[in-house]
Amino acid sequence: MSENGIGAAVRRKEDHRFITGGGRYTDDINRPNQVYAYVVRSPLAHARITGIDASEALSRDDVIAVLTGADMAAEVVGGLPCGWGVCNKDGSPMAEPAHPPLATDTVRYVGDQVAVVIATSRAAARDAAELVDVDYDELPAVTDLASAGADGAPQIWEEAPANVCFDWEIGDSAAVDEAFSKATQTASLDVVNNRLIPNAMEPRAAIGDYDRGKDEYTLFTTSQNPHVIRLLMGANVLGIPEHKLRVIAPDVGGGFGSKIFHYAEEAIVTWASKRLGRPVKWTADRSESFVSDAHGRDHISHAEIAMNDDGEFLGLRVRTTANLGAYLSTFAPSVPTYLYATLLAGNYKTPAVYCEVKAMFTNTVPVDAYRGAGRPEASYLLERLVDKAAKVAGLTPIEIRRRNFVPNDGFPYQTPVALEYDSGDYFAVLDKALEISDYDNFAARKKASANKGLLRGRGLSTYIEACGIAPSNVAGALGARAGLYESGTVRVNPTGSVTVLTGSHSHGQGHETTFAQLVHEALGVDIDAIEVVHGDTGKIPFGMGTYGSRSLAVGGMALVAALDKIKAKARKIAAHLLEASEDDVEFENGELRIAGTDRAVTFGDVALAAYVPHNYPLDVLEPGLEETAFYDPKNFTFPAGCHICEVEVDPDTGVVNVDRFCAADDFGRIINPMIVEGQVHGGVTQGIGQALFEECVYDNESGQLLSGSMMDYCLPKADNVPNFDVATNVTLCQHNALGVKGCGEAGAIGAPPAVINAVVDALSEYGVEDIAIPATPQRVWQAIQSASR
Amino acid sequence: MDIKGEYQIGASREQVWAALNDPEVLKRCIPGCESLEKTGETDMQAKVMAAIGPVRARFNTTLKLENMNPPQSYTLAGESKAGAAGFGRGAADITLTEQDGGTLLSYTADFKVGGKLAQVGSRLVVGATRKIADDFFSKFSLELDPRAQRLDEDIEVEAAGLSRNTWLALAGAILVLLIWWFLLR
Repeated sequence: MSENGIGAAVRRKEDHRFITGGGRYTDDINRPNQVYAYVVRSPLAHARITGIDASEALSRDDVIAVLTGADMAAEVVGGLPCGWGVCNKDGSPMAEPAHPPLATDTVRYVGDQVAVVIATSRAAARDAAELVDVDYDELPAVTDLASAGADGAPQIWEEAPANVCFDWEIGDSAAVDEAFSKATQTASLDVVNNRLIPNAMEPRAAIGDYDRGKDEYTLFTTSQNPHVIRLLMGANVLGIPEHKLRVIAPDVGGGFGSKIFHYAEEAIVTWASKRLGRPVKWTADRSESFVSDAHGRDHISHAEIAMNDDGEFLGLRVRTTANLGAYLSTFAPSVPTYLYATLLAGNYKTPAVYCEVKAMFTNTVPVDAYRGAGRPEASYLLERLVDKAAKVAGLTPIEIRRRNFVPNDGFPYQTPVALEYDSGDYFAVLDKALEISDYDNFAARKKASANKGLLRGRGLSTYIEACGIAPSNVAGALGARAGLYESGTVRVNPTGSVTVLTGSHSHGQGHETTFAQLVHEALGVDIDAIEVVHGDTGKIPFGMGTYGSRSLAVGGMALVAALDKIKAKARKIAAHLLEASEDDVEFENGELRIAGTDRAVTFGDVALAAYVPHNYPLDVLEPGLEETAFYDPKNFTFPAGCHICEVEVDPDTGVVNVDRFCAADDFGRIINPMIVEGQVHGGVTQGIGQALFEECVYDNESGQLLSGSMMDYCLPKADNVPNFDVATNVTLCQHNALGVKGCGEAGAIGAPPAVINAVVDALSEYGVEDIAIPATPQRVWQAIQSASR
Repeated sequence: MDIKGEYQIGASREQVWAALNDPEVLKRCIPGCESLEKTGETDMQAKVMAAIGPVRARFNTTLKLENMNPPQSYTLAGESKAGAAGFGRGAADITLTEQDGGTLLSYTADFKVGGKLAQVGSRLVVGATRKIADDFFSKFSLELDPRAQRLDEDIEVEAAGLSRNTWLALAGAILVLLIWWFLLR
């Protein structure tokens, strides 16, 4: 292994600029003659707009315009599009109501965009927004899933009777019924997956800049996928052809899914910049992010599992209701369906699985993908249920899992819910986790905790996820309205440095380092002479962006394909320079050598010859050394792992302290172990956040968001998490040349069930079998109190 | 949320009723009231500066007198808009009863907020509203009778209980400090 190649813990190239204040985020960018937008949002969860009086705001000298839904509707092509269609059980399409960037006649959640004030400064726009007088006729609202489906519930959309967006199913219902009829033991679980608010460190921002001379638009935005935004906004909302619209997503401070989607503000500033003839900038403040960034999770499920006498799973039946919020966000329908129910087989060889999902509209912020997107919901449900099943079957949590794992010789494994797992060794990651968690000495630690008056519990989860999203033909068959390949360009510059243009986008993942390692490994170019460029539709041929742990498995593979083309051409050039046959030229360590001789040219010589083709086979080869490749994955990738958590619960206060957390993961081949470890740390911390702290709460009567600030929405902090013990066990992905699977979401998927299983274990001496998530001190204390009585 | 209060005012029921319908009196008594004008027989328009938790905003308020039953009772209903800060909406049922040669004023108030006010201040709304209502009715009672008394003392009792604990804690802390000082001398 080279010092900076595949497998090396290369320090992140991007960190120097980040930690020295050199990062350049959207809000750091200012355009000449720029003005500022502030969005007037609905304070009501559901209401008809009966009038907007902006006269007082417009009377201010520093206010340039107040634009409303009516202004926008008259000029734009359409509403914010949904990129994924899901069908009902009977094959009919889902309800897909219009989503105007600015509400025209009705608002449907607190935070819905009503008007935009544009002024000469941010403060002026904000002050003037206070003066915009909007009259509403309030309508009854509904925010929770149970009420949304009740008889007589307020109707949010005419086209969605009973607030149902779609009623979907997957799997073989009859086969599951048969499994239950044969079962000798069953276990069941009712479970809520708590609604989360993403809270990326950098709030969203956007600048629209219209160039009248060229009739061209530039949008700077906090996006995980600028090309997707260009496609959706250009074609569906504003009617701007691709060649007239450039979307730049510069440094982005965290996304976690919430910056995948095309948001109203992007369309508003782009449209307004042409209308006003000035660049328009919008930056969210933190409070605004709480009510305008897509939320995550929010499921209610009932699950049952059928077993034989040996505790082997025969069938799984799941009924889920999912909250989509008031409008369909960009990829919302895919999350509680194809990213969720397809993962319900887990790591297990359960022969029959059936899941039905009813997705509901409510008067809440739209819900879409958030770190893990569907897979944490599946993993949480399944791993809680498996622990319950272990109790019923009288087996340990380890034994029941071992009895049901897909065996190592069972790959490729076709699940009953559409996916085909290509590789894995679930036994090995379990064993690895047991080893690093010092599993066998738990009793001594439990005693030590008891001596302090604390209840120690341990929980484990074994998870699988589908990453490397996605094979386009498969995704298309499942309702995706786009391809999910990736592009990569490798541009070798005349003096031998390399510029990489990738359609993936880095917003914390460290692509500038990981992708440089791929190039270094292939071409031997010094890692400091490799520049990774991303996030600009004006520079990069095309891209589908970063989400679903896809960057390396899809974007990295596109680069590998481009690098293969570079190597092939370099060998041709070298063969000419060395006057040898191309077949005899080997490419190794940055040199192209005639095999078995000491005659070689460096890669730098080849690059120079390609751009200064004085001695060059011009009759058969073009000058230049730049190659582009598009890569469409053959399958999803399937990272898997085992997480083990130990908690200490204070029975007097209900406070849960995560004392130990071990993660053993199989991410396939690892390019940079340090970056992988960082991704696991971040994911696990978010998972612990979901398990113990984070909960989005709406007042169901008024529809107001109650957990709308950092005072009320509790994010995990450094002192809430222990030092993590992290290990990997590698099985290679079978369908990509790198053998990589992806690691970005694993922590958020594996951690919540491990933590909750540990809390339930700690409380088991009180007879507690279940606890609602997040396991806040209040909930834990109440569980103890009601059990003690 | 229901907020309640009772005041014994040394004035006739008619006097109290008249004051309750006098915009000038209301203006003086509503905390943070910057202006208040009568816009109809039973309608008023007010501008009120108020803070709920971290949100401080100017509330453009429409007040409406409803369920008029002079001189016994009415409902004071209000709707406030605070621009980007959101809105508030509330009503107070006010009853006047002749008692002990004066008038017993009792009220039940309800207040709801929305938008940013609810987002960052919902936990603080009960306390803030209680204080606003309490300030208003105290001022109003004193306006008519400098010796007016609040009868339901539950809130004060709560507050006193709290402060008693605070005093005990403070006394304890001083004691500990004294002992330390004594030992270390």
